[in-house]
Amino acid sequence: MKCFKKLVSFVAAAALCTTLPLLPSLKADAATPATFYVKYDIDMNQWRMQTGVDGWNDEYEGRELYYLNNGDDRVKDGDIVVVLANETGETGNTEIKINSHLSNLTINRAVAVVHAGGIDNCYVLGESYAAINGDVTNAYVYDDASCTFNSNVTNLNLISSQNDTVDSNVSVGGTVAYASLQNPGGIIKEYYNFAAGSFDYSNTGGLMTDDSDFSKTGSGPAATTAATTTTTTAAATTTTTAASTSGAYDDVPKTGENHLAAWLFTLSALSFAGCLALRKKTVTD
Amino acid sequence: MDDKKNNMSVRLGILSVLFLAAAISLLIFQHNMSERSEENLAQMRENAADVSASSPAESTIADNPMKETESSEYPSSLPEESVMESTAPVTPIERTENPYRDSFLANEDMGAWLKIEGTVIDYPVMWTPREETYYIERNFEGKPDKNGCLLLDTDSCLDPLTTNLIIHGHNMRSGAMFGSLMKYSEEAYCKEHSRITLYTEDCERRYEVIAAFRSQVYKKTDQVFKFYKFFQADTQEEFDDFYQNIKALSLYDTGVTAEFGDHFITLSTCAYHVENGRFVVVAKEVETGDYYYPFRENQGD
Repeated sequence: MKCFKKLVSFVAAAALCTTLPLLPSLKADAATPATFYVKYDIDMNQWRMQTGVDGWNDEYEGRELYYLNNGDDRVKDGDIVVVLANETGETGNTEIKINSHLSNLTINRAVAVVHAGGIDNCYVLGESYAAINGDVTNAYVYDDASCTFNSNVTNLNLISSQNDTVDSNVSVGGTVAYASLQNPGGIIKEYYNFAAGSFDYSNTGGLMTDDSDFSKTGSGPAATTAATTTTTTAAATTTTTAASTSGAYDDVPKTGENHLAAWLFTLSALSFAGCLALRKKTVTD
Repeated sequence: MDDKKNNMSVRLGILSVLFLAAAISLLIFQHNMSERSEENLAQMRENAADVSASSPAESTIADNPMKETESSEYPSSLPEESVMESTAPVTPIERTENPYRDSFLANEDMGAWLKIEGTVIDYPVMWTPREETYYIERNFEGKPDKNGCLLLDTDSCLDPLTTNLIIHGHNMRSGAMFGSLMKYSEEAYCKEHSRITLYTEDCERRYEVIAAFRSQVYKKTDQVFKFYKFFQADTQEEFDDFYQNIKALSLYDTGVTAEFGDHFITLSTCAYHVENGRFVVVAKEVETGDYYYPFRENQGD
């Protein structure tokens, strides 16, 4: 019996040793950006904001927008702001002013004019009417959203999630380095180097910009990591966003080691542990 | 109740033995296949060494017995660097026997042979446009092998040569394939192993490491620099985009610079710093070594 127990311990230890390296490494979470939800309250006739919650919580009435820029819980550089629609879609004052540089701004079916000190990724979802003030690195306008960007946009993507044609209405007051029209099949068209104030796309007339104000040739989206990353891409790539979570990964050969044998060892060890536990229980009963 | 528990216990015991047997069988099978593959690779390396030793280091066209026919028959097989103005005097290209000729002839899917002196990286590189990952878990003979082969990305091309050749390889714990590539995260290691050689059908291409960095495979919608999307630079802008990004991402400064018109080789393997992580070594072509005699009937057409 002693010998048997030793064998069990050995098998279990072997299984653990082979599978431990497979476990995902722990990730430090020191600089996790805070998320702020902003919603217009019809009864109070003002915007309210909540933070530290997982989505807007109707049980709390939230705080005034004043606290977006003031107090300990104010929006800091790299934080995330989500502007939500209210139940009726009505909005009185549409202005939302944020002094910080946002890593992510999402306008979700809301009507809003947002001022920010720059935005890395801006998502304007379908049924939204928005005006964005502040330079945007990557902008994604979905379906029938209407949006005016009053500053520069580096990469502007107009995305139709269901139809073949792009139904957004978008104009840009600044320059656009790269613009793409996308439908569920992928990128339909790509344009480059729009002059300041020239980008104008409407769901009825398509791209209204004069040919002399942009180029049809280029090399894909403007690279944005060189300016924002230092030595590794880890920091720039772990941010999950509304759009990137929905996309499939690029097709690149998977070059990780196959661990089928390790998994079989683990299953064997677990089955054996279960077998022993049951046997022990039977004996004690 | 006890009978039920006993039965369950016996079933779990049997299951455990079955899983164990399967795992052991798989390990033995994988070990045997890897060993067989390694033997074949060793044989191929030995053949290459023999050819290199037996053929003169460099032989001119004049010395080449195929001079009268092949040299005129395969003009396009001459590397770009040798193309000259028609008025310029014709300088014979010095050629030698391709050390990996037998391997190229043994499997038409072999696109090149990659070697980094002082490391275990000394492998054939497979190029299969019909199915990019055909050799990802197959050996040179096409038989199952968890090490697989090195894969030349199907968007890369050796003839005509694209600006960037991307080679993917497994990150094996045994160190095989690109299992040792992550050692390039250390600057000192890189300095000692900065020379990379790629033996193609036509010539030997020598590279020097210009950047080593961690990256990842991104989602299709992510608008970021994707090293694995760069194959050809037709404009200065396209070249600069790639060059500036790899330099910015590099874990250290290699001191090697590049300019529009240079060619690169990119070695990529899985890494685990993030989901779908990749460790990448990029090297710049610094010189062309020996040119080889054609050995296929249609070579150079």
